[in-house]
Amino acid sequence: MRANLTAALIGMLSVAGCGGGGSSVGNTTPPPTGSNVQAITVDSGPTVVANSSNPAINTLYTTVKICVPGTSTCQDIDHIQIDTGSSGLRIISTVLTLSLPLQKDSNGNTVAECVHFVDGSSWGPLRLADIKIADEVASNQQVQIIGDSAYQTIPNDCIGTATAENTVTAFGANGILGVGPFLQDCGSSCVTAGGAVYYTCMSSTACTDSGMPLTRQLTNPVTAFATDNNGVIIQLPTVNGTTSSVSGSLIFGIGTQGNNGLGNAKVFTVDDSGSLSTTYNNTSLSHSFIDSGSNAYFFPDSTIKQCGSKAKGFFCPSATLNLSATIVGRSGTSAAVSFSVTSAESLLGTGTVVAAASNLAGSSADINTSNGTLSQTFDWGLPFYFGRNVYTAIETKNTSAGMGPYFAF
Amino acid sequence: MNIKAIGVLGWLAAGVLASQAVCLPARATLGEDVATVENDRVQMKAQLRTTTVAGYTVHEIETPANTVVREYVSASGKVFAVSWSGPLLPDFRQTLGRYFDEYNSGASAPRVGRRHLSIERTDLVVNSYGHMRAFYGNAYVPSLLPPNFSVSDIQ
Repeated sequence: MRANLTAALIGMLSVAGCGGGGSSVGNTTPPPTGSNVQAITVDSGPTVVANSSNPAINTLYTTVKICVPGTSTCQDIDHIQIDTGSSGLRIISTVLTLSLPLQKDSNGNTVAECVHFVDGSSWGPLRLADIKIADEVASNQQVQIIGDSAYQTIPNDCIGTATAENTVTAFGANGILGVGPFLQDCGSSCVTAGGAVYYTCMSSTACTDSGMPLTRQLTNPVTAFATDNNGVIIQLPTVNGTTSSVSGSLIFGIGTQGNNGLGNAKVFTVDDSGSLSTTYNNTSLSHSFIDSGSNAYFFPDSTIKQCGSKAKGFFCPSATLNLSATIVGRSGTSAAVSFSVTSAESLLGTGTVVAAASNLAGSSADINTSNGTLSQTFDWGLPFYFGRNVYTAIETKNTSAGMGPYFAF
Repeated sequence: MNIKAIGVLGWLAAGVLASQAVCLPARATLGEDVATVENDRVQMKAQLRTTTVAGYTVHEIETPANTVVREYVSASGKVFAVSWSGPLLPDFRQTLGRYFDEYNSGASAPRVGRRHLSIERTDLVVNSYGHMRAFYGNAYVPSLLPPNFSVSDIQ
């Protein structure tokens, strides 16, 4: 019921927001079909987020079915954010109605995670579920349950990493589906203790920082599918200006079926942290990344006016800027990408529902100085995905264009 | 104590006066005395190398997970800036010390997304960005910056 109600409310909000004018969604090509195709949307988020003072903007969602392993006891959860900047499925505990078994470590202790985001960390145990998306199934996979009521004691070293982000409102979604270019969320950095990410728990209130073998870390569920498991494609239509909702497709597999070939897409390899380079204003930004989980373009440019408190963090140029930057893969492949930046205050302050804005951008470091910047990052967020097919190939997985990890577009 | 052999850091090449492996006493946290560096190193089970540049010293601490934390210490012995880069975030309660609560309240303000965080207050500036496996950022106390120090020197 919760899922349906949320969808209905969002639908009404979307319709109500259509009268804003000046916005359009291009591309009338019929969506692809197939057992590996999942519908995705950009809208204002779960009801509590959409109705809050901070509705979602440029946030990509889908509905995921999770089941008690090996059973037909299942739940559809809407508004799970699709994130190519992380790996693994995480669900906010308050939307979960199923009782899922806990994952154990080799000693029979339960496993919890303090997942780091720059603006907050999310705490909760790993449980096991069958994950069903489109017609693909990842059986008996780890799912992090954020804010799990049985695990309310957040360890001090997890609190020390960032502010807690353990509710739907704080998180901006009912969960997050990490379909990034890696097999696990953390990888080799978490195999030894000390990072305050993985914890083993003698009881639900006694969790200690521990190393976690790769096989027990939160896993990219795509890699557990029987087929179409080497990567994903995110396909979204062009957005001109702003709009209240966008529909697209998440397609599983690269070159595994008739509907997911690379075509003319160019491959941009990433390093073991998921980074590639971007040249902007004749400066090479070596920590750049492509990320469906970022809601804007973020890059350093001290010449562009920053917004005031109404849209803090975003750019507010007096007129739309038409810019260009060159994405450079670690293997040297490069492509110039054009994009535009419009004042966030004018994009978001229209009084109508805006869930997608193609020209939204911000600074990747607030501090720009006369002789340089503190940021070496160009973050190609969701606006980059509008009007493109963006491929994410997973490490160690083969594709027709070679082994992941890479992005292609 | 496990101290990594050090060399001149390329990014400091022009300004390096001395570069030495040292054992520092006790512990370092933003706004605190240099003595606090060692405590951070112990807390992070990390390795340490130290570089002295005109007017300030950089203590570089590398955690077992390969996150590098740099602590910038003024001639008067105060930690005026910290930076981090690596696969995991550092423990901010440890590295930011008395500024942790202010960081926390800044990080709790309405956000523009989970890959970027900027806090700009009179006595604390924080820039943090990235994603799991690739976190970068820095924090400094404007009033403690040495004369002629440019924040773009924070690497």
